[in-house]
Amino acid sequence: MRPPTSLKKEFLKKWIMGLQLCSSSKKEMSFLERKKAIKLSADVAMASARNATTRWSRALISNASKDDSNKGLVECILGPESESLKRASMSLVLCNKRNRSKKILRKSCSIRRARKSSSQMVMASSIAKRLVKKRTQVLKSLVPGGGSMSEFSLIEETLDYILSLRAQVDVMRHLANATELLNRK
Amino acid sequence: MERIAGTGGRSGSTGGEKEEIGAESFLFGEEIQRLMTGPPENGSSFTALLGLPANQAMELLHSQESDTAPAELSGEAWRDNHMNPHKLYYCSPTFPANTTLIDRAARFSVFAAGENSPETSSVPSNSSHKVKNEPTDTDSNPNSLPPLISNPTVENKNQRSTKRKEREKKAKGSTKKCKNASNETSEEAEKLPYVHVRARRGQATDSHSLAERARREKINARMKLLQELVPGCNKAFNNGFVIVTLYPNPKGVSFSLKKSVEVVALSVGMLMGPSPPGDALILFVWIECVWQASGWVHGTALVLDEIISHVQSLQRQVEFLSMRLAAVNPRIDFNLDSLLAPESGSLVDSNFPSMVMPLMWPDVQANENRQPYQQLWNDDTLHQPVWGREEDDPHNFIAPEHSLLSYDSSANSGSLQSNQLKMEL
Repeated sequence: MRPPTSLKKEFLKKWIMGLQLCSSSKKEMSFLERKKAIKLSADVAMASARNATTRWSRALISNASKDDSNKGLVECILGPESESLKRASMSLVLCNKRNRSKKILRKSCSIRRARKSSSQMVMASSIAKRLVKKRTQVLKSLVPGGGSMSEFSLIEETLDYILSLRAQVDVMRHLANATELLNRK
Repeated sequence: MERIAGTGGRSGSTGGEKEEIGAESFLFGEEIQRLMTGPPENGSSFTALLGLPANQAMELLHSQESDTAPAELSGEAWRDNHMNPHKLYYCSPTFPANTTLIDRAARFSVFAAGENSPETSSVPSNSSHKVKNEPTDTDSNPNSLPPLISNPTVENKNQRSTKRKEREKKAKGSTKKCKNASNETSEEAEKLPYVHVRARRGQATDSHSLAERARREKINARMKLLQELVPGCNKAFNNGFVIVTLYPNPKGVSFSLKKSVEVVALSVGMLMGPSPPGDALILFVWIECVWQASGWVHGTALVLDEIISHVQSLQRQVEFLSMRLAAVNPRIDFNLDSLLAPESGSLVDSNFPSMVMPLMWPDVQANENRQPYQQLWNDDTLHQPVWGREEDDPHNFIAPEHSLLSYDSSANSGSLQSNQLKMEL
């Protein structure tokens, strides 16, 4: 089990690096831009703390590096391993497309099958299945890179993602509190 | 009642382990009684199972199922369990039609919002009163939730004995319960050396962390048992994997095995307390217990709901926090020198000091941000509405933070963080 404190340490390190990079660019950023930059650096730092071992982190990094304006920041945060990570995340994107087309085919077939077998007996379980399916879809939309995962891996990824999010929120909150207190005094 | 005295005594001894009295054990009580078969009284408690190697444990568990009479009872119980969810399907997809589930949902939110210790400390006193009335109620209306609160709570304070609960269900007389209590206390006393908790070098030795560590070791022991029960999970690096295989209710698994696994999962879940804990394996088992408690099939939807709301709230918190940080600094410079300046520290923050490492804080700009901070506030009208929103947010999301993150630190930790930072560097 990865201890949460080491995760937080890594995250903090990389995040501060990213923030320093942001501040070193001397242009005057608006509030929203600042917020976006902070959030982006936090997310990328979070993802890189996982060292691209999980799919969500890879998806996050690939999404972030798609945008050219963020590329420099992302590369800086990722550091020396950035090249290999980017290659891994690009391959993930290609896999997604293949899986998506397969899933569309499967869905169309299953819809035809489902229409045939709608009897009274099956209704309860089909309602349940529909509930579960809706929720898995929502979950897939929430977790970065979730669209291409099976249900099993989705849950595992979600778990990991939740842990990372928690660590991230913790660190950010502490930093925010500290800076606010300092600014008050 | 001797029973109450027994529990009072036990609660004194396990006072440090307040978190064990998970309030959601209320919810599981009903399920436990449904899940468990009748009582083959071979007198071994559940923790005794943990001491045994896996084969013998499995034998013991399987020997439960061999009784025919309890099997019928369990069959009925299962049918009952199955009927309930079916009724719900014709209601709205969010399950509030069934009052028991409303209760459960309410309780979950209450538990999530509240803190562990005050709730759990109040629970033992409540449960001790209710013990007398409970066994009569349990058999009569298995569907009602609140009367079942105390039984499993009282039991689960110390052990997860399935057979004890069955005995509880059957025995109307208090004398039997006293015998069980004494049995359990003696067994507990025997089993105490089983869990060795010694303060390792560099770790805190106060009662809370000791209790916490004892609790964790119990959980780990049960997770190991769980892994041994579920075939093919021994090499799982991540204990969450164990629960993932359980998740869609695999068909190849025998009924008894499934039940035993559920028991262990429930016991682990009950050790953990009401709110989702901060560790991967524990989070998964908690989810599994939510699944079990809420019923058989539509529990999956409930668990997914829980997960989704959790993820959404965490993501929202990240957004708010980044907004806060952006509002605090007009330029993204986190003035680390000023962070290290001596401040009057007040409270202990356990998380941040451990996070701070001897980083090379690069040279940061001077404290120019103080003045432009004020100017920017007056000048930019865009900031005004944002700040208005911002003021609500800390209040709003401090509450969900408290609810979700059990190890929340107070707002004053910031000043002590700077102290700690200075000490570290």
